[in-house]
Amino acid sequence: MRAYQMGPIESRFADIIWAHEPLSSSQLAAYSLAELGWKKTTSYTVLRRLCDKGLFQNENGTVTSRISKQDYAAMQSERFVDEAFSGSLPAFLAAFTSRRKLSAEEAAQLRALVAQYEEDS
Amino acid sequence: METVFLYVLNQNAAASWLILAVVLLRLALKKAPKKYCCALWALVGVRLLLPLGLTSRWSLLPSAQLVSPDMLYAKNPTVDTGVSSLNALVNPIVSHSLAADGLTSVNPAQILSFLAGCLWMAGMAAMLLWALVSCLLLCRKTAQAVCLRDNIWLCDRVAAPFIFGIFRPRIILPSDLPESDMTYVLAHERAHLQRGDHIAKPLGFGLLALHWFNPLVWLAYCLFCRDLELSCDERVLLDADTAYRKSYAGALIDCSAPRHMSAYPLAFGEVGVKARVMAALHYKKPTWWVGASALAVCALTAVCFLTSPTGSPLQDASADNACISATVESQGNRYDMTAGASLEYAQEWLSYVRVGRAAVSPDRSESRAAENTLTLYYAKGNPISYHFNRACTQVWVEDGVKPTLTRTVYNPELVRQFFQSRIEAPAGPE
Repeated sequence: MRAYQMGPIESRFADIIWAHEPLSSSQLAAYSLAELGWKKTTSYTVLRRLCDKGLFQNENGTVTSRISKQDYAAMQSERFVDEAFSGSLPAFLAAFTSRRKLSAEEAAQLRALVAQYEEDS
Repeated sequence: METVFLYVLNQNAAASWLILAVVLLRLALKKAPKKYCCALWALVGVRLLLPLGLTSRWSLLPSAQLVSPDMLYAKNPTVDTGVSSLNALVNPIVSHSLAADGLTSVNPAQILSFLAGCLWMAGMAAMLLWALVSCLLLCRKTAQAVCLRDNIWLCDRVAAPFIFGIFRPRIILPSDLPESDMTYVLAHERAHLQRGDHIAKPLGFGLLALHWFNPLVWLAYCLFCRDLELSCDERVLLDADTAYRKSYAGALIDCSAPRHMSAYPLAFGEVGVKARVMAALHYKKPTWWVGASALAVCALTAVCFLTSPTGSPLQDASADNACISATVESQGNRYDMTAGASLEYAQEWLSYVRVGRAAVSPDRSESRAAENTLTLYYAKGNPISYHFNRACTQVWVEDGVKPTLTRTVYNPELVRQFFQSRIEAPAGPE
């Protein structure tokens, strides 16, 4: 399933839910008012849209997520590599490092990741 | 309602000449600051809306009134475009199809103007409805905006930066606007707010809704929007150096939005991006006399087109020939005047009558309408007869040599008063 790509402001709204879930819709509205300056109706409209897109769910006034923040980020990065580099991760890394070299720390982290995922698959 | 529609139609006809003139003048004013073009469009706006019963000798409008309200009740309705050839083209059709047949109590002209008026209102309502719907949709989108600072708001899913609101205007920026472009976009939108463009543009659209049936007004609105943006760019870039200009042009290109004409009010990258980029990069401060002459052109245009023509006098000032008597025939009554105060009065009155320059139709027959006639008899030569129709809105002259073409009377009230007074007081002052 291709996750819906949220805009920067919607992402801030989603962050509120991910940070405080599970929470009631009225609490969410209160947080939105404080952080984004949105009216109740606006919060509910955006919430309904995100629920329709399968990211969150609102059951009996309680808002929970259906995808975790990490999973969402993973889907976004997958989509980016798909669209920009035809799914080729090496191509992405080559492009990324063509403008700046990897630091020793980054190289070590990458090696550990590769080792971990080679094991898993 | 027909009177309102006729008023709008007449303003529209007068404004059409002005729009054509402004379109030509814009080409001449290419080197001048764009704010003078905006001033010209302001004149067009005034002409489209306000009555301005000013008349002057320098008026370049061919006709004072395209359709006079009397036309609705005339036996053979005609219009006066102010150009003889146009009149010759249009009036035979108009007279023929709208001739009052005397059988029905309502003239065809009245029916037509009523139907046209209804159609006009329907079109205007459709446009205003469309504007309202667009506004509501934008309202919904901007409700999900987040305030950055002051009156600047960021919004997802918005294609270009624009200004929203008339009384408390907000600058709406797309949330993915690059940081580097922000200063330039904000400078531009702030300039719009300072100039009051967020009020001018909806006002222009309102006038467009009122005059939707004339394609020239659409052309005027498009060009007005372009000139508005260019003028705003000029204001921002007034004292800017080359580096600033280059970055500004870059921001323009970054923000070029798809071509929705009025989908976003005062959008940043909406109108004529190519022209604006060129203007931004190649700006050269014009010399002072360019601005001065542009201002003079604007003033001249105002005088020539915001005033109506006074018309030419009816009678040639051939005072050599002494007038010995006169006859007035009106609605079947006849009144003779011999030398004396009433004769002088008649001649003086005649000198005040004003007629249009263009002939209403190429008809020279002697069977034309002549319900009100003033005939002057001279010591030498033929008598001259001035034939007016029943409503005194048209006149043709018979001088025994060749009947003149029919012309529109610009002051029919004066004529009506004259004939009324002669018939009511047949004894008259001697």
